Amino acid sequence: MLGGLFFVPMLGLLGVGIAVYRRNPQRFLDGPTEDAPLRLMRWAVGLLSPQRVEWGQAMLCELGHLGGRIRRMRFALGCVVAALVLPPWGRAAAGVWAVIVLAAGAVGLYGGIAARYRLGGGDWIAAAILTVFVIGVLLGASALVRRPGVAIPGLLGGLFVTVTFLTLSGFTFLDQILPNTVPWHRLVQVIVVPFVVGAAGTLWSRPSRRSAVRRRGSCVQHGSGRW
Amino acid sequence: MQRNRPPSPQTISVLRALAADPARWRYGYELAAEVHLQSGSLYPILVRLADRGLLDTSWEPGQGSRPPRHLYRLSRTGREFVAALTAARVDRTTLNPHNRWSEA
Repeated sequence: MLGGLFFVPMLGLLGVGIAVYRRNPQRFLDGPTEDAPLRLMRWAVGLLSPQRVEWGQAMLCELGHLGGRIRRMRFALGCVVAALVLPPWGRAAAGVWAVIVLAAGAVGLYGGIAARYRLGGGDWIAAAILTVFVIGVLLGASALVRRPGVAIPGLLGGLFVTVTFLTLSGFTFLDQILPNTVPWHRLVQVIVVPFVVGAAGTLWSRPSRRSAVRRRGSCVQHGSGRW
Repeated sequence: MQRNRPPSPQTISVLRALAADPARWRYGYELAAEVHLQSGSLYPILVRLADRGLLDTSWEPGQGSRPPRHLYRLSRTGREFVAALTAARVDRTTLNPHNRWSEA
């Protein structure tokens, strides 16, 4: 069981590495063109509702005038907080908050059950792995929710994964949890289902993404400047 | 629904900093450093002040490779608001000398 749990995050990390490389292979030759504060800030600005876009640009441009990695990072972190709390919440910020609440609830529930039934050390290790996994899902979800048109497909994909996983694990929503699983079930859970969802996500047309990229202002181009 | 809560101490310090030279346009980071606020606190305050019409905003054009920059100063309504706030402080101090308005 634990071996399988380790296998999934490893596959996930490998997938992230391939995706990063495929996104911009030149980056590995020339080095990063944008520093971490700028990337963080761009992420935060994407969370703002359309009414606050100008304020996002204001923060982004202000960052372009700041020098020093620590100073830039502190400023960017503050702007992330501002983007998350600034009303009205955009759909992206609301989505991030919803995922955070769900993830915290899932980890809390697992921890509660483990404490209530005085489960052994192995279960606490599993809980720690689950927490790491949930944080990874949170990061992925926070990136995805900013893209227009992914909320419904993302929800359907998540439901598909969850239902398949629970059904093949023996949890049938009727009255029992069947402990016996057939070996090929694990193959479907760990390989086939993530592959299907990943392939569907890759093939999903995202015409609005290009326009979103085009909308970026000059602040983004200049934001990496350090004086 | 617009709520008219009394301004927080941080908001008041931003208003005071802006009111020190109301005609001058200020940069966000400069303002944050002056009132010792993090950007995460300053920008929501600036947004709220602008929403209430207390703040004028403008853009300074970019020069060369430097990006444009957002500028802030008190609007006429903002200046009147700060004046009213100061008057209220004087009144309260007169009525109760032990009242420290700095916590307003």
